[in-house]
Order: sequence, then C-alpha cells, then structure tokens
Amino acid sequence: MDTFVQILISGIALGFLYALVSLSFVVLLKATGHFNLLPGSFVLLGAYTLFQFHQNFGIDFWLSLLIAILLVTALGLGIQYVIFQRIDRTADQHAAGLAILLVTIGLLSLSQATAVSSWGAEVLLLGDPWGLNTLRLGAINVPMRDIWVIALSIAVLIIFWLVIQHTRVGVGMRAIASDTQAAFVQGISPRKVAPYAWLMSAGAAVIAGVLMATEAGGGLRPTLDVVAFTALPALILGGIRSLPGCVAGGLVLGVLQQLANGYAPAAFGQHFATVLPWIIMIIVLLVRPSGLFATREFRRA
Amino acid sequence: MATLASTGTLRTQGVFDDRIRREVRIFQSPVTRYGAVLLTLLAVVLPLSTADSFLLSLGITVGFFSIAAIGLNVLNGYAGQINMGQPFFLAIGAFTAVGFGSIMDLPLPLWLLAVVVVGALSGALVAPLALRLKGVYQIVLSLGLIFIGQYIFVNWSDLTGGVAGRRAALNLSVGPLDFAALQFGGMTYNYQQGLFMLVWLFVALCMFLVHLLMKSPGGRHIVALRDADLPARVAGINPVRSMVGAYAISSAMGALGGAFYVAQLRFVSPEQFNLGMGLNFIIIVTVGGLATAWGPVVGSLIICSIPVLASRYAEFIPFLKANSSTPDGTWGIPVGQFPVVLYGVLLVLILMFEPRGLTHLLKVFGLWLTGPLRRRRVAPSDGQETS
Repeated sequence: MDTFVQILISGIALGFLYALVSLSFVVLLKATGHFNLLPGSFVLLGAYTLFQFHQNFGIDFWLSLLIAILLVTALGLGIQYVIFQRIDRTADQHAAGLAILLVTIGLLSLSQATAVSSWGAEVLLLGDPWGLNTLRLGAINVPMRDIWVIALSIAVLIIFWLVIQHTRVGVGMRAIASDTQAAFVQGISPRKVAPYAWLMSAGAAVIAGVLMATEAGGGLRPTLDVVAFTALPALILGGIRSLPGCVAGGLVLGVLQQLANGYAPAAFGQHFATVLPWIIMIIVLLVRPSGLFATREFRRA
Repeated sequence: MATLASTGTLRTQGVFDDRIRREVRIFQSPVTRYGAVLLTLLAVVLPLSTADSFLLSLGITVGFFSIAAIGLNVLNGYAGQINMGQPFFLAIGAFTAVGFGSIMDLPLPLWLLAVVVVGALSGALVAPLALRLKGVYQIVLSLGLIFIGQYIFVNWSDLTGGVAGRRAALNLSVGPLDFAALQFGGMTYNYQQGLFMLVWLFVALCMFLVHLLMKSPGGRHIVALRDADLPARVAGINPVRSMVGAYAISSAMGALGGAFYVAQLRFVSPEQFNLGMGLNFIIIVTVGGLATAWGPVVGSLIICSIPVLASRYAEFIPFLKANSSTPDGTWGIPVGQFPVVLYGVLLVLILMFEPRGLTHLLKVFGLWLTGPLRRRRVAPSDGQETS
C-alpha cells in the first residue's frame, strides 16, 4: 500500500511534467498556427541558462529561473520575427506548416550543439534548493522534488488559467485561436498577443526542463530535449488544442507509466514503461483520433 | 472530306502525343541519358580502381543512406505526407537481413527479396493508420514508431542481440558470384569493393524505379492527391490504393537501406535506429530537395561526408576544439558537434531561402555555367524547327 502511494505520487509528478511540456506545445501551436518542436529546445536551453546563472554566476535560484524564462522568451520571439514570419510570407499554408516544422528540427540540432559546446556533454548538477531530500509521512517517503514539481506545476496552471480566462490578453488569445479573421476585425492585434503566448510557452517549457534536470530527475544533460518529446503522447491523448486536455492526458500517462514501472511483470520486457505512453497513444489514435478530451472545434487536420 | 478529317484528327493526335511523349520521356535530354549510363558504369568501375577503405566506406554509407532517402522522398516529397519514422523501417530491413542472410545464411537474392517484401508489408500495415491522420498527429505517430520499434527489437534479443547488439556477417553470394570476394580476370577484390558496387547498383535501380513511377499513371495519381486531394478523388483516383502504395515503396526502400547498413558494419544493434537518425533523414531529403530525383542522393552525400570531413580537417576550421566531456574554460565547438551545427544551419537556410533544395541550386549553377555553350548550340536547331 505504501509503495502504491509512493508510486502514485511520483506518477502524478511525472504527469504534471508531461502536462507542462505539452502545454508549451499547445500554446505555441495556437500562437503561431503551426506545430513545431521548439519546446524541445526551450526545455534544454532553459535548464542550461539557469545552470549558467545559478551555478556559474552565483545568482539566486528563483531569480535565475526568471532570467532563464525571459531569455528563452526573447529567443523564441526572435525566431518568430526572423524565421517564421519570413516563411509564412513566402510559402502557402500547407508548405509553410511543413517548412516551420523542419526549421525547428534544424534549430533543435543547433540548440543541442550549443549546449554541448558551451557546457560540455557530461551530466551537471543544477544546485536546486531541494536536492535529494525526502519528506517522511509515516511509512511513505516522498522526494521533495516531486512535491515541488506538483506545487510549481499547479501554480503555473493556475496562472495560465487566470491569464487565459480573465485578462484582455487571454481573451485576445482565445479569439485569435478560434477565428483569426474575426479577431482581426475586432481590432485584436496578433503582434500584441504573440509575446505573451511565447512567454507562456517558454515559461512552461523552462520550468518543466528545470524540474526534469534537477538532481533527483537525473541531472542536467544535453539529451533533455529528447526527454521533452516523451510528452508528445500526452499532447495527443488530450486532443491537441485543449489545455485542460493536456493536463488530464499528462496525468493519466504519468501515473500509468509509473505504475508500469513498479508493477509490470518482467515478461513485458525492458523499457516497457518507457514505451507504454506511445502504445497507449497509438491505441487512442486508432479508436478515437480526436483524443480522449477533445474540444468541439476538433478537425483531423 | 474524309481525307481532310482524317488528317485533322491525325494532326491533333500527333501534337498531343508529342507533348505527352516529351513529358513522359525517361531522360529529358541526352546529357541526363548518357550521364545516367556513365554514373552506373562508374558504380562498377570506381571500386575496382581504388582500394582506399576510407573512400569506399564513405561511399557505401552515402549509398545506403541514399536508398532509404529515395524511399522517404516518395512519401515526404511526392506524396506530401510527413514521416519521421524511417529508422523504424530501416530496423525492420536490417533485422530481416540478419535473420535470413546471416542466421539462415541464404544467398543474396533470397534475403534481399525477403527484406523488400517484409519492408513493403510493414509499410502497408502502418499506412492505413498514418493516412487517417494529418499534420501533427502523423508526425507524432511516426515518432512513436521509432520508440515502439526500439522496444520491440531490444526485447527480441534472440534475433537482434538486445541492447548490446550482435555481429552479423551477411551472405553476399549470388550463385558463383560472391560480392564479399569478387574475382575479375584473376584479381580478387575485397569486401568493401564488392559491397560498394552492389549498394550503388541498387541506388541506381531505386532512382530509376522512382523516376519511372513518377512518370507512370500511378505516380501521377500520388502527386495529384498531394496537390489537390478532393479534385483528384472526384477524377476517380483511389486515394487508399495510391497512398498505401507510396507507403509500401517508401518502407521497402527504407528496409533495403537498413539491410545494406548491416552489410556495411557487419554489426547491428537496435540502438542505431533512433530518433537522431530519423531527424537526419528528414534533413537529407529536405536539404537535397523534396520531390526531386537527385535530391536524396545529393542530401546523403552532404550529410554523410560532413562528419568525416570535419574530423579529418578539424585544424583548418575556426572555433573547433577536440572532443572532451569536461568544459575546459575555452569556448569552442567540439569536433563531434560541428556536423550537428552545420546540419542545423543548412536546414534553416535552405528552408528560408531556397525551399526547392540544393539540387535546384546545383541545377541553376549548372545552367549558368553551361549557358553560353547551350545558346550557341540550341539557336540554329530552333531556327530549323520553325522554318
């Protein structure tokens, strides 16, 4: 029973990480209109920037986190203005989607090379305030990192919800996402909304990246961006355009994956827990391609 | 009257025929026709004239990457689908080859046939699922294929050797001819020379097949479905048959590439067929030029030679430093990372400034180079036709 509760808590923590990364993908998809893999780079570069400011420059952990988020946002906006807009202008809708996806694959290679060139390929310690501490509740040991993951993620989700539901910027975002033309006519400028969308996307991705890179999460390493891609099944499971769907999809997959980690019989083979989200995703795509939590505006395109 | 009418129809028919004939002609100009023959000859002659193992192994690597990329180009270029999961099909081909060519030790034609058939079947199985989906869903599905493929092959350790991989020497004999130790006129050639010849003959074959396919009705159906889905369906094209066919061709060629990968390394491990390889294939077909005949080969040539050249000439490239895992205070790009940087920059630049790929740039450059020459030769013949 105690093991079960421990597994459940670590599953929920993992699920929130998935949720944060897939939120980053969804917000970016809504803001730019094209699916791209930039959140992978955000996760990686965010964690390394925090390392640079916290460990090398000795700035406070939380302040470094803020700096990292802002820098990554600036990078994202730069990419949008320099690359995405140019491609959007020159290519038609379908070709632009593919081109932007491919460009982000190129940027992904670049960010990986930047990380290795600047900080080396070995695993680094982020120097996070909670480290390897555990909280003892009776017979249950909960790593402090899991508690921080859950708390921070919930905080981020609440901020997102408040921004999207209750601010002018959030209303503008929803308007642009549901009907760009109509939003134009109503005087909502995508230029004014875009920076906030990038900030949200970068914020979610950087926080997820930092939490994945803490000591208990396996340390800071240049393959973090591939770890970020493991959140993609959560994105599909949640139906690609819905924010609550992402959270639900992430939690379901996180808990299932940790349960498989703990309880799957040896006959299922190595790495079964790693591949389980992808198997679930394919089954979902077969049975219900709109995702388990589809919103009304779903199209299969 | 009758004669007039008949000449009339004859004439229009003739004109129409001529246009179609020009368009479906296999080689557009004598240059490409003799070029193709020359290059095919080169594939046989080149390995016989050199035994430099560095050059030969690079050539073989470019060759099998080209084969798999030619396949992927059918799907990503001509058919307009997005598949990042080509390593999955390479893995299938590789392990089919290991099973039939190494463990059962069948001769070359038999295991090659098995590789192609298994590859095509696996593609045809994945296709219905992938074709239901578009955009993001298709991308994520194809990424999932890579991960699931690795899971299956790591756990099927009897065949694949699990995480550690296994040595696998493939049987390269066709009857009396053994490509592993070719004999011509009393000379015996080594394994790499034979394999080089074999791989590049298959590159030529695959290029030619794809080229023919794209001139055939089947290929035109695929392109029509890519460019205008609904009108193509209205015109009576069966989308399922065309697209599943494209998938099967793509995966069969991917499997063939995987089989030659094993033949080159004589070793195989499921870890080789990872996400990074999938990204490399995407870079190859995009940088080379989507939906062009030469694109995959040009792309493979560039992507495969960059790492080799970078490590060979590291001292001449600025900002480079030796590979080391610990930061030593100086900023520099480790030699191992330099190709990655270059891939990224190439991909971004190509997509921003020349989405038609390097092949197009080469073509423009070639036309510019031979411009004065052609103008002189073409002008009089034009005059004759009009007069």
